[in-house]
Amino acid sequence: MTWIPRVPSRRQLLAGALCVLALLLLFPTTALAKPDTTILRLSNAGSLLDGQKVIFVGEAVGDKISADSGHTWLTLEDEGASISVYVTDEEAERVTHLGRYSERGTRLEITGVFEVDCPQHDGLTDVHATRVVVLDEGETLRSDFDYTELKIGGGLVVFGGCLLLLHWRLRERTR
Amino acid sequence: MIAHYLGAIVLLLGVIMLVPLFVSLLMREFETTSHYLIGVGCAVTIGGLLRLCRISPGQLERRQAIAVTGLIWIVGAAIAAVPLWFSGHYASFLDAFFEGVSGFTATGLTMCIDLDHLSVADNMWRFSMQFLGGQGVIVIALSLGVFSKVGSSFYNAEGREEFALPNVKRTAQFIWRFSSVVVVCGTAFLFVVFLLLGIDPVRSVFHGLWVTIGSYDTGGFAPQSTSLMYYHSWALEVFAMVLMMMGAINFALYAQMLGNDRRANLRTFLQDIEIRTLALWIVVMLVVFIAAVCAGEFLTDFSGLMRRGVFTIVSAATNAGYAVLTTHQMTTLLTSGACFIVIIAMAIGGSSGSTAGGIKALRVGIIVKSVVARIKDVLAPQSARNTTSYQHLGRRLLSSEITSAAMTIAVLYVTTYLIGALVGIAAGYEAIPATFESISATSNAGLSSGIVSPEAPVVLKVVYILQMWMGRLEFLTLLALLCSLIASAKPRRKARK
Repeated sequence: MTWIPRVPSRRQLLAGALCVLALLLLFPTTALAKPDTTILRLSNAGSLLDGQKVIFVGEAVGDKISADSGHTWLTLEDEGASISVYVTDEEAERVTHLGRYSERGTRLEITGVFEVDCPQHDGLTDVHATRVVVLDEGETLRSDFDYTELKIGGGLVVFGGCLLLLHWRLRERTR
Repeated sequence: MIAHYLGAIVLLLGVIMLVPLFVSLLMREFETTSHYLIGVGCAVTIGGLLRLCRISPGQLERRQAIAVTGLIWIVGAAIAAVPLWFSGHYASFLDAFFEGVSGFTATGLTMCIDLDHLSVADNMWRFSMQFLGGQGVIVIALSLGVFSKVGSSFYNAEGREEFALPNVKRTAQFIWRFSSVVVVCGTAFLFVVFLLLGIDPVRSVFHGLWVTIGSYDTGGFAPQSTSLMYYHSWALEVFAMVLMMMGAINFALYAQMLGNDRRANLRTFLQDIEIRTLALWIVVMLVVFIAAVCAGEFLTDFSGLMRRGVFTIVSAATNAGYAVLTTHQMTTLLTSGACFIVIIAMAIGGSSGSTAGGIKALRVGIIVKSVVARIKDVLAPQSARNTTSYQHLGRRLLSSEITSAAMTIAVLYVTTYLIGALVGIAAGYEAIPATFESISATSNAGLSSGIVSPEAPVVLKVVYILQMWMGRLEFLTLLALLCSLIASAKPRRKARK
């Protein structure tokens, strides 16, 4: 008996597509290219990676700096190293948080071309992004008073003030 | 007596520390507020204790003034390190202390971890230290009338030899006012530039202020980890170069130029030996640097070479320390010859009586003139008596004392450069980066080859701290202080009956 494959019905095709979509949403990293380098390695990379396609992750920090028309500069930071990334304005719009004090910046996966001596940007070391994926939106953190430290500081100020007052009184007596 | 006056300046630092404290409240960085309250408390307590060592201040001897000036940079840096250490951005108190010394000496080498996440208040403190250090802690104190009875001894001990105006207090006030005007105007200009770059208004004000201070005070601290490359703005870089050049010029020359006869003053300004030496030096360094870079494969296009090459040489020659090349580009991609030119540019530095460091253009000019004069003496008949003069705040005769003084300081600088380089090599670093970092520290330049980091050996950190300190005070103050301390520690011989 010859086995004849059945053509899946429209409903079955739709169910299959929904399952794939659910998998992509639940496990997004499985759908992305794996980072093949880090910002720290790029900072020390010479001509080996110059002009090559690279994939790395980093936190967007500081500010979005306007570049030429239609583009924005982002600074990405990871493991204590930073690099300038040249992205389109639309890609930059997806960065909702920028890393600063009490602010965790949007974490991005960048795919792009690494330039150790970019001719377009007067010799800057940068990455021209071809794809930007948001891995983590980032968040604003609270910065509250540390009341213990406030008490210590206040106590020191009061003590120091008393010493100065004592100095002033002693000086007045000697006059 | 020393403790009394030291206490006065420590109290002044405590008052200035209120600036970042208020900034922390303004920017809602409440966790940082307590750090600065502790810093203020430490300053007030230590200042009070020091003042209690002597109730009534008497007449300060020159030796005592030297001791106060020498010690305040270290005591001040230690107190300044307290809030920085609490910030969590420094691996140890030594690193925070290093930052304090780097700030006060307007060097710009940094030990800060994760600079991009540093609070606005902490950055405000870093740049406040550079503003104080660039003008001089003593200058600020004199202009505010902290020292009413003593002046010139302190002023000279801080590495300044000329007075901008006849009176030392008026000189200090002139420096303070002139610098304040430059900082206000520079901040306003950069505020507009940063707004146009898309930075929000509040951050534009702070960044404008900080970059102006860092450029004019040739300090070199940057608010972000990628230094001036962060802004991607050639307009900013050109303006920063103008400020760096202004900061590297003798304040006394500004006072002279702003005098009555502006045209004659401008002519005198352009004839000054320092201005000519500095201009010629920068041009020569630039030409040689461009030739050296062209021999390699980095910065091959003209616009990149002009933009980054010119800025790097100006930053090195004025000891500002701002970078538009990454550490990797500077030490690996640039040819060794080009890197060597940067090192030499840092070693010489800017003008005396300015915010810049290094051997100083005036001393180089004097040494060159004395060499030429010596050659003339050899070639001239025995009966001839040659005299050489130079233009510097008036016509001056080039005497053997002046030449000897210039040579002495130059030799001390070169010796310190070598010692620091040898320590770096002994710590396992390559010769060029070790020499680069040693000269950067001693000349208070602030460009880095990557050695200065939290991972650097403790011995090297201590050596660089000493180098920054010695370079800022131009050695003689510290050597005098050291000799005084040694002499006071020796027991006196009893007189024979």
